[in-house]
Amino acid sequence: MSRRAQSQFLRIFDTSTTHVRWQSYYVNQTVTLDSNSWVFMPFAVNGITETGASGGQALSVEIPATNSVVEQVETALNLSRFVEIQIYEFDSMDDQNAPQTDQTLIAKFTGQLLSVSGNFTRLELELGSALAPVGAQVPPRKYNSYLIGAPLRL
Amino acid sequence: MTVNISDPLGLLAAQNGISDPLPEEAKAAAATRLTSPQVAASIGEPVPIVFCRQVSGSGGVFVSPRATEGRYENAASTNVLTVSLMLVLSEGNLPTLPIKDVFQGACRQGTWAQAYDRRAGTWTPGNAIGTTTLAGATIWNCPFYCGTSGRYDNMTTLSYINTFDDADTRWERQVHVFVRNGMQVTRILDDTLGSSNNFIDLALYLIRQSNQISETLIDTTGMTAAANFTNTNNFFFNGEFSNSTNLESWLTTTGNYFLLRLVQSEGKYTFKPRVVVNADHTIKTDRVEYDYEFTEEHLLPDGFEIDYIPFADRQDIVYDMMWRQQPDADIGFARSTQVKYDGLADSGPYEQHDLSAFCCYEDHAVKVAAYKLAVRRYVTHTLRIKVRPGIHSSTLEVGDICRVYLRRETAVGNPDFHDYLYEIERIEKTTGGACIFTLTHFPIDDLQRSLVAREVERATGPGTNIDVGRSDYTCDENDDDDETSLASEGVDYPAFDAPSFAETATEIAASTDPNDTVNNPLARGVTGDLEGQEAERGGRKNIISVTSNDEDELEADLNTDVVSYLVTPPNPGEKLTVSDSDFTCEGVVDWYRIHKDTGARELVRRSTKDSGTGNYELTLTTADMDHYIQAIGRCGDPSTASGFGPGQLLGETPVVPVNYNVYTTIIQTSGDSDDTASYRTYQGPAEIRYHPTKCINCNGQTTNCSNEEARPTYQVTNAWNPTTQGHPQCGSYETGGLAFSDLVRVDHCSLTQQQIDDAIEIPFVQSYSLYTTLDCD
Repeated sequence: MSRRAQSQFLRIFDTSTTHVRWQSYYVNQTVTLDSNSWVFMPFAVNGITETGASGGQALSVEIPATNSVVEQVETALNLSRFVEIQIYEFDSMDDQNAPQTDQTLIAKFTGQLLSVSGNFTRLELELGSALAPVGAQVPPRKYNSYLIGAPLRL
Repeated sequence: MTVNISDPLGLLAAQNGISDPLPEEAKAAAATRLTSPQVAASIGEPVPIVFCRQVSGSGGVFVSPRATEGRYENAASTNVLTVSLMLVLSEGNLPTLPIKDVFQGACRQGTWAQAYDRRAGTWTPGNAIGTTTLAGATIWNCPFYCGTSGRYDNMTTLSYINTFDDADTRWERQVHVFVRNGMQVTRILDDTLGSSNNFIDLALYLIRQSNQISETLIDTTGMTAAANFTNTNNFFFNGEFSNSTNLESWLTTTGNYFLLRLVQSEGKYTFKPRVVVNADHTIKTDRVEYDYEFTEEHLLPDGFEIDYIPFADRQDIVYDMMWRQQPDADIGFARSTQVKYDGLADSGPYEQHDLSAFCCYEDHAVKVAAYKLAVRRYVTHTLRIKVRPGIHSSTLEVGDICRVYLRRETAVGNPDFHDYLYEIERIEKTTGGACIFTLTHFPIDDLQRSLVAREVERATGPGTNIDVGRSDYTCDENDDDDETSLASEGVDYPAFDAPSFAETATEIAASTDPNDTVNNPLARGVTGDLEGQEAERGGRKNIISVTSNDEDELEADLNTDVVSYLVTPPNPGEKLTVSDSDFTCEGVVDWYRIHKDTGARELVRRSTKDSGTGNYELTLTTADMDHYIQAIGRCGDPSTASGFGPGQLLGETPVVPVNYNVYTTIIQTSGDSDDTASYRTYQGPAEIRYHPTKCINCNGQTTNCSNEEARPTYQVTNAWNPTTQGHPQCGSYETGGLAFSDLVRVDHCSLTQQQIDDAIEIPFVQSYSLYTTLDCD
């Protein structure tokens, strides 16, 4: 019988501050991991993909639409905050009251909150990067009236 | 139901660069015309980025800057034409050019100046062509719209002035510049500001400037390793980036030509070499160790999917690689080198790849071709396996090498094996624990050496420089070895008529009006008493506005203020009533107690119509203090399980205040605690003490508080009316009967100071009457 268990941790942060730490495994508990407190929130990650091909790098997270979640998610979307997902693997036969010291980080993903959708009780977050697969973005600067005025017409 | 859809495995060859993109037959990017007419810049065009660095006499790029301003004037006597052009060379700051590297057409001519972040030159744009006295003079057909000036923020600009004799047709020719060292960036390898020829430096610059990927999502460690790989193997970028394109597409496509693969690991972007490398970033040509071995022990049911590379992508082919031969002292030109396997594809087919826009090293182009040829020849298939979780979940990453060793029972006693090395292209880690690896065949020889890497490492070009073919240097007016720097000459705004930022941009001020708060539905105007009360109480948020349809009496707003009581706010002991004239159906009234702070709601009583009054009633108790009471009426509805229909709000009270002087309790009048018969319900203070030792007994007489009969039996209400009751506090004391006082009324009494000092104020009771209750005995 497999004794493999996985716990998921979610962090919303920006360049200077971590705004929220949630975990979905230790029900109704606040646990400590990496010297930080992680509050219980029953979210679910659909799996993590690492790839060299374009496309397929987005990751989605389902999370209850509580007031605090909605507030955090709206703010993260408005302010381009980052979301980090960590998935740990550990022995389910050992103590499960708190993260085990010898658990293994098997997957990690950092992305920006690209979109949020859902219904009254549940939100689905799409994480990834804003690197668009279509449309021209480079070279980043274009000639405009401020830079060159009314240019010479030959 | 969950439907899991993966990319078709057949697409992998195209996604990971095994398959070539559709060939494009076109002239090389470096094959520029030298004597074409000068081109002007247009609004909306990209500002070019000249990105190059000359190392050991190799590198640099030949560019044709566009003009933004011009001046044309002729001499009255000789009709000699003076042409002045203002040119944008590149975004960013470029080192100062030497005079030997600036051209008009194919000739080193003119007077030049260079500036950064300002307009180069001091001449004024315009057409000043006038009449001439020269007989038979040419009429100069020069532009009349000569441009206005601009700010040229963060641009390197050039001023070019040249003169042309009468009838000289060269005045219109394009200006060219050989840039040995391009835009300066902070190089990733030495953390120094300067020109760079490293593709990773350019990629990072574009990523950062386009704001497409946040700095947090860039894997700097991986980028550094990739930069070392290109640097070590002499894959350099010397080019001008001026065509508008998609960043991801450019990174992927151009990265392929540097044998790099754009990957996203842990959500962060980086480049990884397409061939195995040693610790010193050279291509690894000896034995390759794999990182993990998958066997049938790992495989999950239906966890093996194989797809062979189609014939079109495996056919022997000739690669026509275009690159740029860039002499140190002359104009560069496009070159091509054909790369193929000896004895194969002698007559094609051919496939053309143009690296001439940035590649000026033949070996670079040849190694890219060798990689493509080797992949075509040796990589036979791709694989997708679904395996149970294991140690590989935390150790393997994209680009790692793994072995898949599976036993295949093809005949009794004669098993066969699927035994190959693979490079990991994609890893999916599912929430169920299973991992899906998408793999590309990693071909090896008998010594377990990478076939592709060895062929790339071995591949070199012929190494022959072709003569530039120039036969005449007489048009050069500047020496080809003149290292003199261009003059640093220019002007800043507002020396010229350059538009200001306010004239060319509109900035919409963000609102600071708190009424514009978007997340406050109350600010948008909530209607209805219920919302108003909730908002006033502050207990609930985000109430959706209720709009009534008053024209339809069946949908008209209900009267939600039919609960009556005597005093506002009501106190414990008060009776709340809903008249049957306000709630006319046969039903019940549910009385709810709602805490003023927490909003906790509790059903206190379901009342039916009082048989005497016909009203629905509830008497407040001390348990109602700090709560407000809500009356919900429910009409009888035999169609429901409860027998009553939906509730409708009949009214709410204000919050019942805390008033410990007025409460209902039970007091023991007997010394025997078991004498329940002597227990008596009464309403009023626990005792009425008008003196430290004096109380009022049941009959309104003064008695010692220590006496058992000193228990008060008076009802204190908030309905004291001085007009009808007089001043019972004072009078009763004076008559020796009802004698207690509040401090206000003490002023009207004939009391001693001691009595005043001893008088007890009953807190929270603003006014009161004292009278004997009926059941006092």
